[in-house]
Amino acid sequence: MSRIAIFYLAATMLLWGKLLSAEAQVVKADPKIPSYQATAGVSGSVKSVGSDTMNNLMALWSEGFRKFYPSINLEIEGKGSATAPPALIEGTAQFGPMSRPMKQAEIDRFEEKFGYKPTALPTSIDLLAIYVHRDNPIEGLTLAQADAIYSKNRKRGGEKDITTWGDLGLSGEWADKPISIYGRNSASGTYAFFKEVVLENGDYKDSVKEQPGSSAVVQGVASDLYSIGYSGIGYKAADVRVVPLARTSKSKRVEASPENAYTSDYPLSRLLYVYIDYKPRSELDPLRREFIKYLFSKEGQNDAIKDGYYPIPANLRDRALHSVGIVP
Amino acid sequence: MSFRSSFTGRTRKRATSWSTRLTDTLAQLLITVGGIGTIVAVILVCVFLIWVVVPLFERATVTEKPILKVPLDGQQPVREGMDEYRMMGWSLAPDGTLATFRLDDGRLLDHATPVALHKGADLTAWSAPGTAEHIALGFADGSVQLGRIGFKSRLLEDTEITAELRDLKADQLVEFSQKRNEFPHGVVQRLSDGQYRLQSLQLEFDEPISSGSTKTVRQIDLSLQTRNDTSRGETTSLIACLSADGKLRTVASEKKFVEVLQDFRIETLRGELRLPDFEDRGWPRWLLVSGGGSNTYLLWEGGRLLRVATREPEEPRIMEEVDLLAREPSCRITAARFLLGKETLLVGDSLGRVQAWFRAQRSEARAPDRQTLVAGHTFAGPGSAVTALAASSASRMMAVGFADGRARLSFVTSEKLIAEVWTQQDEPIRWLLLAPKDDGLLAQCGERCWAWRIKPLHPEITFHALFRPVWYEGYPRPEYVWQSTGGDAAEAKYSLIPLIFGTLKATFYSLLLGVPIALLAAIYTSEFLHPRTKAILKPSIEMMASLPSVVLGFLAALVLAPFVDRLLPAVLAGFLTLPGAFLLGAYAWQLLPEKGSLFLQRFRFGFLCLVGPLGLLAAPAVGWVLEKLLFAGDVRGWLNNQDRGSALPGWFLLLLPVAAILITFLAGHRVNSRLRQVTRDWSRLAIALLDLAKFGVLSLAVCVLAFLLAGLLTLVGLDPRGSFLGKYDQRNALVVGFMMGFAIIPIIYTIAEDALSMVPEHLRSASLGCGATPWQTAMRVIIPTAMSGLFSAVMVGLGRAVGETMIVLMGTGNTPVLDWNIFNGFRTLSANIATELPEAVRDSTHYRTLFLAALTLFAMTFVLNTVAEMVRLRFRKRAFQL
Repeated sequence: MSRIAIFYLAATMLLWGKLLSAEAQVVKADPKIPSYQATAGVSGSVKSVGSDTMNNLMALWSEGFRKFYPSINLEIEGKGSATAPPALIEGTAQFGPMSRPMKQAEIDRFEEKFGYKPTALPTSIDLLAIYVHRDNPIEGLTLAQADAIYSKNRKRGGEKDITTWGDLGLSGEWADKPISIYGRNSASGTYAFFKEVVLENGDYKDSVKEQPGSSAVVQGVASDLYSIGYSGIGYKAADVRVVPLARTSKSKRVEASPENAYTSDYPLSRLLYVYIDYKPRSELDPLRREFIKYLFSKEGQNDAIKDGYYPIPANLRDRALHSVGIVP
Repeated sequence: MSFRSSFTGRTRKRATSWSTRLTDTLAQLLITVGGIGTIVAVILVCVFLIWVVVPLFERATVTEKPILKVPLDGQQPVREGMDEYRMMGWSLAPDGTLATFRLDDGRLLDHATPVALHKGADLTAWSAPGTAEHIALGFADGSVQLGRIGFKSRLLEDTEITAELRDLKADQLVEFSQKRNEFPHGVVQRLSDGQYRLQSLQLEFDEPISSGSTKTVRQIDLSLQTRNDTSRGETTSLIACLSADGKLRTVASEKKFVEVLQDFRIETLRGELRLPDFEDRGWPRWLLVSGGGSNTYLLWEGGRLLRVATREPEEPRIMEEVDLLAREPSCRITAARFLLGKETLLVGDSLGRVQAWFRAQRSEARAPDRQTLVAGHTFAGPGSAVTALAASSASRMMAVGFADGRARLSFVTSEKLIAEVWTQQDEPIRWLLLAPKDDGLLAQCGERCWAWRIKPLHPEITFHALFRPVWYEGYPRPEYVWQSTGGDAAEAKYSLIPLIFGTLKATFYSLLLGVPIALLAAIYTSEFLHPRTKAILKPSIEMMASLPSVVLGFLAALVLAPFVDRLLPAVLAGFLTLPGAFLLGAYAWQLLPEKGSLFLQRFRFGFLCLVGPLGLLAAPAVGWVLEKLLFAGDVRGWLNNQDRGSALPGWFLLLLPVAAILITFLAGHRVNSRLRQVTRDWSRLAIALLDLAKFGVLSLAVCVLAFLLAGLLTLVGLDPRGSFLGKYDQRNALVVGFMMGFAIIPIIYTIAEDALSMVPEHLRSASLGCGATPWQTAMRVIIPTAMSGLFSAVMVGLGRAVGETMIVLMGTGNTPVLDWNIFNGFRTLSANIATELPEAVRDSTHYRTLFLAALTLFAMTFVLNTVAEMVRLRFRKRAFQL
């Protein structure tokens, strides 16, 4: 009897220990970032148009922000990062969340209209994950392998085209199964980021199935046993698995985990931006100013963590606030 | 009103009442306005599309600005640059002095040697342009230095604005001095909103590092990438240099930000390689490092090029040696540099040609990385030698300067000549510079500078680029590709062929699945079904049309695609078992005794509905058997690997329907009439049994015929894999064809059914009265009469299939492939417009090309409909003659 009790106790303690250590690993916002302080005189409505990856995040921010100012109205539309610049230029949106930096052509168009450049605010860090089906036994991929799976012209120098799981070293029933490739549609920043970083500006194969949203990629991978897909880490689900990545065949595989996000060991980390139309040396209107302050507050950064992203360090935050004339 | 009495005694109003006439006039007016309005609206849509598309094909504009004074003494600069607002420029002389000058009048601003420049030894080498603002310098003592020469732009504070600035006009420039700067003089411009923009030079030089030897650096180049994932200024770079001892040395450094230290850490790797037979060949004229530092090219004036792989910088490896001027022994290379992205090497020669070389994977490549250099584009010259080459930092545009004083602007991908400009006659152009935003060109010729303002518009688009194969960077051969978006350095590919092909493929497969079902259903309901059942059935099929296509797309992607994926053999077998079950059911029906048959006549439809599920239930078993028998138990493996198994089973299944049609036709013409003669006096049961036996024999004959034909095709060496069959993909044309069929069946069905019902009843009665069976009546009388209606039904369905967007968008992966394989996807014009239009920058090339895609779609439906209408009218004329 007592033996069972001791065993039970030990088991519980072990479990708790596990849970606690897991908790200790959870990311926290930079302690140097203060909490948000509400001010008076904030009202009206704003619209955000842009990244699909950041859709949930924008929704969380607007929810959190409305706890302070219940009367304001925030509308969010997320069809892809490339939709943000046109919306900012036409003035249909005040915020343009983007999962990649603006391209030169987009900046030029903006400048042509306004005479100054758009302002980029880095709000959080995302890891781009390569997903496979839960039952897939693959241990890891190198970037050159990922390139050879996705790219027609293999700019990373892969010698052979990779079309089956056998080409990646899997054996048994997987060996001759072709890889079913999922990706994002071309409007998305994730598409452009992957193309630039993994494919080194090579071209996607024609057989990459373009999905209209990040969750559609994960869903596609979940329902297709022999598939592979890329998407933000925030969309991780139970029936898919994130593949550890290695920069080269010689370097070690790195998990997409918070520790690796900051050391930039994980090769596919990126910043998530919110672009705004800020006329240099002018003062922001109260609503936009307060929303930006909220994004960069402890609460705003905790929202990003809640959505599976990682908060930005305090120095980056201070620089961002300075760039739009807010004294942090 | 006058009333006239008639002989019956009743009076009748002879004149039309005013209210009727008014309604008449109003109706006529309304219909006329509506009709003309519709035509006008369609024309306006067309005009609008054309209006947006036309600028794609307009010529670029070039305006010459007054000639500038020479900003420098006679030295040929080694690198030069200008800012994005075309306010000031800089040039670096071989002795290390840097000069800045204004771009409006060419006046010199500052002229000095940068303080941070390595002082211990002479400057001996400098990197070629190509890596934005970064520059690598090599020195006589073997050290190398990395630097950045760029511009800084800021708005002036109110306190800095002097009286002189207040009177500044909009496009005027004025000098502005900042005491603290190393190059104190900047240029100020007044912006439209009243603010002042100051542009000044910004210099950064890293500490000099060793190249790995103390020998003089003869050639140097670098490739540098800023990691955009954290924007903390982390960079990876590769410097390759050729030292005086004939060794190629590489220095790869990775600048990383270490969170704990809050500072940068630089990791450096070095390697070296002794050049083979270096003594005989002499010094290469150019050393160029490609994008990402993956390859280093050494290029000699005689045309020899040595490609060294430097992706692993510790051990550079020689990959291949190519002669870029193989066919022209007398020719010399006179200019070489990279295009944007540092993958395409532009090589100008003494004959005036410019060739664009890039690496591509080719089967004949003998290099260990299986790549070889290919000349993707060749630009013929005017006959005089190339003396200067410039490449844009925003697009794939290049400027070529010739020895006769002219300069040409061309777009490399589309090989379009954008403009030709002249400096001084017969004086070689010394250097050329394209403005960062592609809106200006600067050239030095003799002792003077020329400047042009250019508007290249849309040089990416030519008829050839849209509809013919183009040799894109890194491709082994010219291809049709649609891939419109990518990073700044990515080559946009705007071939409409894959999209037009995708539209045709979608239409073909959806009609293949939808049309037979819809037409047969229409014939059945109009000719065989009890009117009461028809009254329920027809509206419920029409209800199907009200299903939003987004719902169908959703079902296709999330329900149907995984379902077909899981049960592929069963689904394929279903195509055989379902019609088979119906036919078998029909023959079984004939076996019923006459009385029973008559009694059960009204439940026939119910029995029919029972047979369908039976056929479906049989499908998995039949599928399993067929898969075991024909495909060694793995149909997907057979589809995916072209070298597995013979082509026979594939051909066999594909040819089954063809053989079935052939045999039915033959049987109808040769066998049936004979059988009828023979069995005239037989009992009903005997005839039914004979019919059943005939069905069995004919089915066997179909199989044998299909098998023979398949064997023949296989013997010839043809394989359906690679054309109509091929690799299996979960989101494929079969799934979308199903769902699209679902969308077009109601439309085709309704119109076809109406057309059949409209056939005058007396024709039907006459035919039946003469003793024809309902089947004969339908086939020989009703269908030919209603042909025009049936045809327009199919055409309306086709129109719907061509323009259908949501089902395709969601159900396929939008893969722009170019093959007829039913088991992979496609990208249609309409789905492409829907996905890409929101991202396209207004009035950009991409935006206008999407409008061109819309115009193409419009033209396709227009042509289709016109042809259809013409055919329909012919049919109708024939029908009227009946």
